[in-house]
Amino acid sequence: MDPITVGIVGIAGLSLLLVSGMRIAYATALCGLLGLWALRGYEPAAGLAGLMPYSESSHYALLVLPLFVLMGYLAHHAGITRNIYWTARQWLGHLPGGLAIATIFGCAGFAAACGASTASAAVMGRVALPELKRYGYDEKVAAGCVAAGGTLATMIPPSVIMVIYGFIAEQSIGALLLAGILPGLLQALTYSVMLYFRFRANPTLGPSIPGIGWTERIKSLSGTWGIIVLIFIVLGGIYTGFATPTEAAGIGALGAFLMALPRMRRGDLKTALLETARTTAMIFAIIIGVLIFVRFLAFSGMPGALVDTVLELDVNRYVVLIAILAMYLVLGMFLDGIGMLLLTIPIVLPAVTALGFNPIVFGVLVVRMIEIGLITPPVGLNAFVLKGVAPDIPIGNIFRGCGWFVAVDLVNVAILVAFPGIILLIPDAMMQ
Amino acid sequence: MRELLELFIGVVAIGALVALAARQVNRFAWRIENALSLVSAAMILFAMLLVSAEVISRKFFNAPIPGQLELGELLMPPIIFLAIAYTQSTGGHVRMTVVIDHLPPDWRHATEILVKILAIAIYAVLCYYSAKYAYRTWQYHDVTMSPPYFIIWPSALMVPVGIFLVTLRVYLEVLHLMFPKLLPGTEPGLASASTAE
Repeated sequence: MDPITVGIVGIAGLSLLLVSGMRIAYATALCGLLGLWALRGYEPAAGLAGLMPYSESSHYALLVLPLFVLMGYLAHHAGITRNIYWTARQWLGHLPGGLAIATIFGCAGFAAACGASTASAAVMGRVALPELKRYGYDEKVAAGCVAAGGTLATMIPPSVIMVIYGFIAEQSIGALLLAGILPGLLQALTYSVMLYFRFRANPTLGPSIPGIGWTERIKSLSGTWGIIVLIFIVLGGIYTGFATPTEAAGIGALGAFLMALPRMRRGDLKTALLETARTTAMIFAIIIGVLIFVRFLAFSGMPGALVDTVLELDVNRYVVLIAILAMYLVLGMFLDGIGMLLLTIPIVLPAVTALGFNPIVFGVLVVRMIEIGLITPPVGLNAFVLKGVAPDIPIGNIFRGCGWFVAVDLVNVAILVAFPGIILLIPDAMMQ
Repeated sequence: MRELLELFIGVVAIGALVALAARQVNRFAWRIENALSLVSAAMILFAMLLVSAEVISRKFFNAPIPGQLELGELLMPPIIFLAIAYTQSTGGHVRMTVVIDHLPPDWRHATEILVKILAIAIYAVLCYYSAKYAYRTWQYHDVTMSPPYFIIWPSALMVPVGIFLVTLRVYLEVLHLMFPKLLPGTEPGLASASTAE
């Protein structure tokens, strides 16, 4: 067999194992090792497989991941979630669908402390869903708001997936994190516009909350100091070059820790740390497994062959880009985001950059597509997380509620493809 | 190749021994997993303090902490691998069940066991060769790339330790699925193995 055939067999075998319910971390490591064995012989393959768990995890830049995850958990314990939601409610409640729009902005605010969509959906689900229910908001819209709003956590820094993309694509993690800010805000804004017009057209979906005076609004701002401090530390630190992303994450986590300290009950810190350890182990098990597989793919010569094929295609480069993004939409329906990103980027990115697209722009676009996968059936992780928080809402209704948000997301992606300047504005400003 | 054969014999031998005292081993493994996950948690807290201390000390007192970067790197493998078995036993590793959810129960049961056995195979290989790597770092006194030249074997050793525990955990899950009487689902640490997941 020639190496490329081995590569194709490897991908087919991996797909079969993943479909059979094997955990991504194990399936990728297995196929990667067998592939390396076939191409390079047993001894080198096994030696490499023994080295990679250590060598691929002991990176200072990757220490940012547990620290970001920890910051999110601690920020929640510090009461930041509830405070932001309350502020958003006071300021936006009077609009049509006010509480739904407040939920979106509550998610956007919490996103500045939380780096994972599923964590954000779980936390906001607990805070916002009871409130939306109390005011009699339509169940589908309410669930859609939280599930889709949760995905803001990945666009607005900190962001676990952006860090992983930066690591694998060898791009500046700081620049990537900053690149997510404007697209994230655009996403929150377009969600809100959509909700505004939907509720204005159909007020039965849920009431607005009138009669909140300016004094109450101003007063509610006092609860937001925590998140403002965290934004100042993390984004300010990275933007000004005062701190590397890892350092900013460390200080941010410490800040959240100090804010949470007076409010935490016995065992809260232990739970937050254990959850962080669990999430970290889960992420890195996938990273290491996939990197073994990717090493095999590199030896098989597949990425290079793909670049050649794509460059020979006689079509507009935007057609290729849109085809790739559409592929992510389909893959995202079935695969976990981190695994998908790690598996595809080493193959796809060389082709995309050869076509002249900016890797940071492409990163933001791909991450957007992955996030859409979190709220589309059949494997929309955010929807299932929400189902765990609110077992009384049927999963079908959660997905139906997400429908409008997916439509807005696609519009968002189109805007970003047409105007990549939105993505690059802040990172470019930092570089100067 | 001979090594692979020896490894296979070793895995089967350990598997047979574990099966003789499945419940005791399971409880013991569960306690170790919990204890080590706490060590991992403590290291995360330590990493947070270390990184923050570095920034504060460097920016405000112009005195970087020597070895901070190297220590941060050495902390990563223990943070990950001491929690990896705990993550398995609490169902934290991601997988895709959309297809197998629609299989007939018997087929699904058989698939679950098969993929777990494959997982044991790959993780046994990773465990052995990462142990070999850790042994080499000890033998050659490998140190970090820059001063103050920390030795790296204690960190590298945590990789095979964690992988061994997660392999054992998956094996216990297989025992549970194949012989529910020997190792019932009511025993601790088998939450993620139950097919009702």
